[in-house]
Amino acid sequence: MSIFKKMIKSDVRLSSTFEVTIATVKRNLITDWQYKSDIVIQLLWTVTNLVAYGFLGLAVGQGGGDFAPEYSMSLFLLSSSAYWTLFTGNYEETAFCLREEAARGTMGYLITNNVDTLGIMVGRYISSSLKYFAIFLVTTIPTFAIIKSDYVGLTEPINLLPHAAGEFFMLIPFIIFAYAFMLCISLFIGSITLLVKQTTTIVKITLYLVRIMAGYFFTIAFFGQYGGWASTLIVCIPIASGQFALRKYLIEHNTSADFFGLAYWHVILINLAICLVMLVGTYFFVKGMTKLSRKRGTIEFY
Amino acid sequence: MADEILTSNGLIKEFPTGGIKNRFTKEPTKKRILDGITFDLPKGLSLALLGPNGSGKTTLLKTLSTIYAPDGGEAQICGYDIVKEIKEVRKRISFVTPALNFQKKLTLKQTVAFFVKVTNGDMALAKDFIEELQLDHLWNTKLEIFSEGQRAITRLCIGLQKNPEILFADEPTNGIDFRRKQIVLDFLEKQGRERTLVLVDHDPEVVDILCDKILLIALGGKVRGMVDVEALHAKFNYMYDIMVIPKGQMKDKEAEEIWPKYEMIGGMCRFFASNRMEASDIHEKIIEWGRFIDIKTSGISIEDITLMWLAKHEKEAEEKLIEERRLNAEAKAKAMARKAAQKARRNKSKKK
Repeated sequence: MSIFKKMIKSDVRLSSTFEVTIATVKRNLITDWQYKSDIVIQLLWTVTNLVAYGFLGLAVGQGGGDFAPEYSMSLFLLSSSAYWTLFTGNYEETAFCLREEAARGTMGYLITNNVDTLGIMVGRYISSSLKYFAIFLVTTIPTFAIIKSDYVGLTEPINLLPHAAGEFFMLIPFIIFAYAFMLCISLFIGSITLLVKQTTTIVKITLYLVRIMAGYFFTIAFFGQYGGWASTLIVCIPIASGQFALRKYLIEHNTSADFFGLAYWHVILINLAICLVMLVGTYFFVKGMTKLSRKRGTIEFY
Repeated sequence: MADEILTSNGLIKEFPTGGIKNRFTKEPTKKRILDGITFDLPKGLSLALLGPNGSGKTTLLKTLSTIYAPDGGEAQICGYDIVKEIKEVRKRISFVTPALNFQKKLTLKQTVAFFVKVTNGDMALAKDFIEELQLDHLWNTKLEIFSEGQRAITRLCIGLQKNPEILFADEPTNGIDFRRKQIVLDFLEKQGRERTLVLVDHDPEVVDILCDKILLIALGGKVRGMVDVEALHAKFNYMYDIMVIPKGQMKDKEAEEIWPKYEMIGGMCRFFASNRMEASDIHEKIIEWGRFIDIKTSGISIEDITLMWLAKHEKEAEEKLIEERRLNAEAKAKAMARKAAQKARRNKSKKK
């Protein structure tokens, strides 16, 4: 049938947020795969981070003071670096994805088709998370194997792989909650780009604040000096719980460890509650920012 | 009302000006881009938005297509309010702009497939359009090697695959080569009765072929009127203009002797002819007059006509304003004179 003779549809149904998210994930994965040089650079960057933090740990030595870990700083910092390989790239890419859509000029078209800014950002987060999970698998394990060699001077074997299946399964809920938490942070910061275009520094500041809070650079026990409750409070934040559990289970192999006085299931439930509240809050925040940017005309620019 | 596909009643759009400090003040300063846009577009007709640069044509297009939220007034598309029933409106519209760009690493097929998926569009329709425009050989080619014209066709394809009832388009044929432009225009013209087009386009040919009505927008985002394309042609029955660059200055008397319908623009003179014969006469008279550097004859475009129409209205509005001011000043002077006379009378009576 000729294109000219087709009737105009009147019972059009718009795609749901779920369909948009899936389509966005697919598009992003195809596009990311096309930029192979960028993937190689990301791989190198991850390895550089791992090596740099490994050597930093060696340089610092065992570490001193009341809040030092019970193992070498190398292991401590390597576990930070490995853990954050899962959450840094996807956070940054999600935080900038609306800005990229707007700069590409697709924002206006997508908005007029009821495509949710939320769907675009969640789609970017999922595809980036898959990409960085693959990078994590490819870089982290071989890097550990390389630095394990005796000549770099480590006194203990670096093996962040679980010794028992239980350690692995106990860690999974924390990783899921950490992903959900970072999704909320990404959506929160990403939706700011709807109003303010120059957000590079905001993205970096937020990342460092979250890293500090999660115990990237020093132990969560350090916060205890400001009050006994501080460490307990911070360890309940999903991203910090994950980092804490990873060290406890995969370095110390201590599955019965408590979380500054809280039991495993308590922290899981608190994580769940925080994630649910944050997801609902972020949903309304993104909606509000979208509405405001339509009002102010900053939703798309060219 | 039911027969109108698009109605706008006092539509206002303002943007905050100044820096972030201004945005947190109680009453931030705003620049009004659209100032009470009011018009109706009956079903089955297409509309061109014309006006000088900065008059708010693209902002109006974006506000109607729900990208921007209006700050006042109301508008309905297919009977649905663009604020309260935004989802219903978005089901029925599509918006195409030259700024719409794509992931360059994706192929045409992947790009179209993405937009079809997110808009719940029709892949078969998109394919047909691409075949019609003879771009199907690029179906599996990455967009990074596409020319501007090929990208313009891709944009139109993406806009049309959803089969919208109203297509809002900002310069839809910009960059497309002559042959393909004709195919696009034929395609859109044949669909004219089924699909409403609302265009911003500076190409008179596009407006002439695709649009039935023209909405004239003046600087400050105010509607100066809505006119039929045909009526506009009839209203301005001169279809040629002859531009003369004189040696030195051309006096009004000299110009009038050559042809009474003229206007002076800077140091040049522009004569208007209603037909080819008149244009030829004017040409001969100018050659006879002899004191010129260059003569250029061209057909008057729809844009020329609308801009002249707009200028005429602006002039009328300005004259009206001047007249109002003069009357006000006169009334004020009379009132003052009256008061002075009363005062004088009072003083006189006091002295008595």
